[in-house]
Amino acid sequence: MASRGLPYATEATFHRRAGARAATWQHEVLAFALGDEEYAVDIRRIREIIKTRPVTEVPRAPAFVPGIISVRGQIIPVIELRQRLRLPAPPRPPGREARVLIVSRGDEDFGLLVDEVRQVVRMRDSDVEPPPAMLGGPDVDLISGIGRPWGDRMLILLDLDAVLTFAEGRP
Amino acid sequence: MTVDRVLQEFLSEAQEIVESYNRDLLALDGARATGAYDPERINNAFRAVHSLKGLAGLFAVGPMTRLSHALESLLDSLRLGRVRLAPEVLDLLFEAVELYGAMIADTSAGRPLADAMVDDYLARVAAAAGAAKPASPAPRLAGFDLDPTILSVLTEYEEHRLRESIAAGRRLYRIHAPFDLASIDTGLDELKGRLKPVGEVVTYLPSSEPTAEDKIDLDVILASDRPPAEVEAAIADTGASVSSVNVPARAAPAAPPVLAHEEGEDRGRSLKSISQTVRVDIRKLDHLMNVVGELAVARTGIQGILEELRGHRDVGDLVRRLQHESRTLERKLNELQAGILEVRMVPLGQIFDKLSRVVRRISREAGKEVRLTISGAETELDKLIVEELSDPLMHIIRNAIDHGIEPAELRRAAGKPETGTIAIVAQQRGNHVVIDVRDDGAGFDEARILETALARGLIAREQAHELSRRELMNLVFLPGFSTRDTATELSGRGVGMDVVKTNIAKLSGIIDLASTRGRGTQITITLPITLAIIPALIIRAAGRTYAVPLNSVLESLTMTPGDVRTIEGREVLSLRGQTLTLARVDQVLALKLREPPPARSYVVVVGLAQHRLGLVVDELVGQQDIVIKSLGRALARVPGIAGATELGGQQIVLVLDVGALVEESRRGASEAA
Repeated sequence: MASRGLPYATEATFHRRAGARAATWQHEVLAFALGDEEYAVDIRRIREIIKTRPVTEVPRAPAFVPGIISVRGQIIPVIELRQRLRLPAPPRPPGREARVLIVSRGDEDFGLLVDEVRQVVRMRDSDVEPPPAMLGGPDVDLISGIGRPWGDRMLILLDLDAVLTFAEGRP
Repeated sequence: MTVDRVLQEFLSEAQEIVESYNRDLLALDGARATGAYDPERINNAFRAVHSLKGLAGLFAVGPMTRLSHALESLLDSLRLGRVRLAPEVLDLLFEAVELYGAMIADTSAGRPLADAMVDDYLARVAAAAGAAKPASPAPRLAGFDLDPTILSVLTEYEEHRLRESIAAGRRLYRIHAPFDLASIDTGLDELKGRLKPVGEVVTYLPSSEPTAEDKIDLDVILASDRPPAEVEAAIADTGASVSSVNVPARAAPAAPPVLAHEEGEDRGRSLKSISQTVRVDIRKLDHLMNVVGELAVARTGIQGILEELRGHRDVGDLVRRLQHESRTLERKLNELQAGILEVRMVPLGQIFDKLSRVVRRISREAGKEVRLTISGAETELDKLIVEELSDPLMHIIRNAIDHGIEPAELRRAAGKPETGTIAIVAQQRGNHVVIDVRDDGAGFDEARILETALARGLIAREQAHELSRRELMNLVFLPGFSTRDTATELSGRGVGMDVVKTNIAKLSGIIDLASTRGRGTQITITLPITLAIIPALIIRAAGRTYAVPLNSVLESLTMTPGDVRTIEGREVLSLRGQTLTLARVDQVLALKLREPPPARSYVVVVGLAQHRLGLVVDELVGQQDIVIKSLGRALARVPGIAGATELGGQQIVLVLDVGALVEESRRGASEAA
């Protein structure tokens, strides 16, 4: 259900073919691009991936919420992840590869606007480092760790609950 | 999951039973003054706690079982006349409603129930039941020309009712009625229905004198204060015959026949539920409503394809047929939508019952005599609105009793009846329901409201003399007008009135207050009938599309820049000799202009209650039925926006919250001045 309809070749497939044992993977994340960096979220939190569609702007909403969309009759706020993470790169109109990840927190759904969806990555605990104390770009509070599945590749793992918590306490 | 659901079912069933129990108590309380209460009410209450006992036992809710058991004994003593229906006993019975409520709330929240919560109460119930003594010396049953075989099979309850009736000086009648064996149930019910208005059916038994083979004859003993002719008239053409039973003037005391009787069980009463209703989680209805909305969008899509096909000659016949089917689909969709809406509607009486209890309790606490009159309990509103309404209404009534209704001595001195009156009147007006809560208490002191508002910096001094009486009164709804500590010394009904107002506003409602010093206060709440589906006016402003609920639109007109005047920097329009404050949608919502505003624009005059506002828009697109959807908790607090709706083709538009906009403009007016 979680990864339904993903047209991407996954490392899971690769490892299965290579005879690796799935039980040794503790992390299964979806990697996606934001600007030049690669981010990832727990695949179990993703309900669906859809193409971008026009959003309806909501006045007085936080700046990183460009608006709302409707997914099968349900109204879902869309979060512009670059702005949410306070990335220096200015927001630009979503390109052809841009997607909206529908994720949930409690009984509410949100859409995360990302530049491009890359692949599903599986990692062991030993592949994941705690978030660095000093990180150039994004807000450290929103990051749960750094994944290094192989070689030089670096995935910034997002703490989804923190990313999706922004309304409580707002007047 | 299923366990949760079963538990929820239990809780909501328990809640319903407690509500019906409460209604019976209220009826008993109302009739107590006249002394002639309907004994059936005690029986109903007894049945209610009996059912609760069974349910609670099934779900192992110990304290609830114990509570129900104790109440059952007390009510049994009441119906058998061992305990008199005194005010203190009624109080005890009412107290149980609160206890049940607390238990249901706790169980629902997953909190375990402590036995201690009922211990004290149970002790008092036991004391009340123990103080049992016969209400009046039992009249003798011997000496009537009642068949001794009848007397010998009366239950204790029936015997008690018989004695009570005789003691009250009623006549006894024996009605001999033949029934077809096949239809005895309905026949007997019909007969009882006809007899109910003229008296009380004490018992019915198979007659010892059968008339025919396929018939069964019953003897019904009726106690009534009506003359024989009226009883005969009541059962005319049923084939039954009436004879009077001789009651000796004052029978000599002798031992009453001691008879076997059952243990307060309702013999022969079926466990099958009588009601033809189904309880449904409101979220399921929301879901159905969403589906209907999507179907409507799909139909619009079909209609669009039809329009395109119209140009093709060779498919003309097919287009006509498709058009026909599409219209049928539309009609049926509308019916479906209306049907779902109707299911959501519940009568306001549901909360009024709760309010009666609150009035009773608070007035006792406050030591004031207060009478509550209710009219329009049958007025229907969306279930969600009714649910959200009970707290604000409770608050208003509590305030009315605590601070509005004066103590008896003061009322006497002012020439008012000692018993204060709170009247709730609900009525439907078009797409709205208007609820008035009136009291005949002391009313508000204008001078004091003004003083307070000035002292708290809610208005400026120079602004004070410009306020109309009504505006002045409505200052009490401002946040910060009063605090709990100072409420009483300010003759304040201000305790949390701003909270009341916020709650009403959340339901797209408007609250208004009018008060006359010494005469009383009237609070008027105006609410939409449903929040689920509404007709809306679609407008465009600053390059965006919005929906405005049509029930708050009064009219729309065209406007050129020359029509606009300003008063203290605020744009206004002169409309039929009245000044209409204007609000530009782009400015109110702080929108960036995507295109220069057109030379000619439109004004949509919106209003709730007596407040008017002109929304300046660029274009009127048309009317459409919309299903308002919430923006979700994350964006819940966006002011001025009531929600969003889908217009078809994945186009989502925001629905403007007219109440909030009107409110904001009024507040803006007082800040600017």
